[in-house]
Amino acid sequence: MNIDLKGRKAIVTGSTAGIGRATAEGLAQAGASVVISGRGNARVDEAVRQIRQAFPGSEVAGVAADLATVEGVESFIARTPDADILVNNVGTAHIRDYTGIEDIAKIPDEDWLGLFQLNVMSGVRMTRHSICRAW
Amino acid sequence: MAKQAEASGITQEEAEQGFLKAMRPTTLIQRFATTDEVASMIIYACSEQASATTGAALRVDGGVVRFVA
Repeated sequence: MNIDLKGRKAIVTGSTAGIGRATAEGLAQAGASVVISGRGNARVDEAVRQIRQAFPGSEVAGVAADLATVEGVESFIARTPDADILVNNVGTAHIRDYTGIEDIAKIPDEDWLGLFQLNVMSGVRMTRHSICRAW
Repeated sequence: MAKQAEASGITQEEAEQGFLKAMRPTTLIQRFATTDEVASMIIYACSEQASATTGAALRVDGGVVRFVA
């Protein structure tokens, strides 16, 4: 079975490392043009360089944005072409370092809300844009 | 996991095995899935070969969840 995504445009959020990076690489290998994302220009640029080097001929671009904010998502969407494939990968399980139950109890509301903004709302906002485009 | 291993004076592999035994005792593959293994499912789901797979929750969990529903 040969997965051929030539002609498809893909966006993978949170893709300078980890599952997102592996997904972006796999999509590029399958022929898709891929936009990767991360918060900082340096990490995004380096990831793009490494992927292009590992997979010569692949179409990979990068956009730096904080997808945990409305402004970040709007900025990202403004700079990325519409896509056929959207992988809402960005997220984290790390709030802060803690060593016990007492520390967990001290995690402030803003940290929990920050997790929600990144892990849930980034996907909602990105998908909302894609849905409006598709239909 | 690396930080926990360092703090406990054990290897990362020992820390991972300890985590799996304590927190994921039902795992069938007895190891962490790799990023490539997770990415492979995502890429398959993006492909024409998955055209009849939609609205589904696809697991890549090493068999941790012991039911098919």
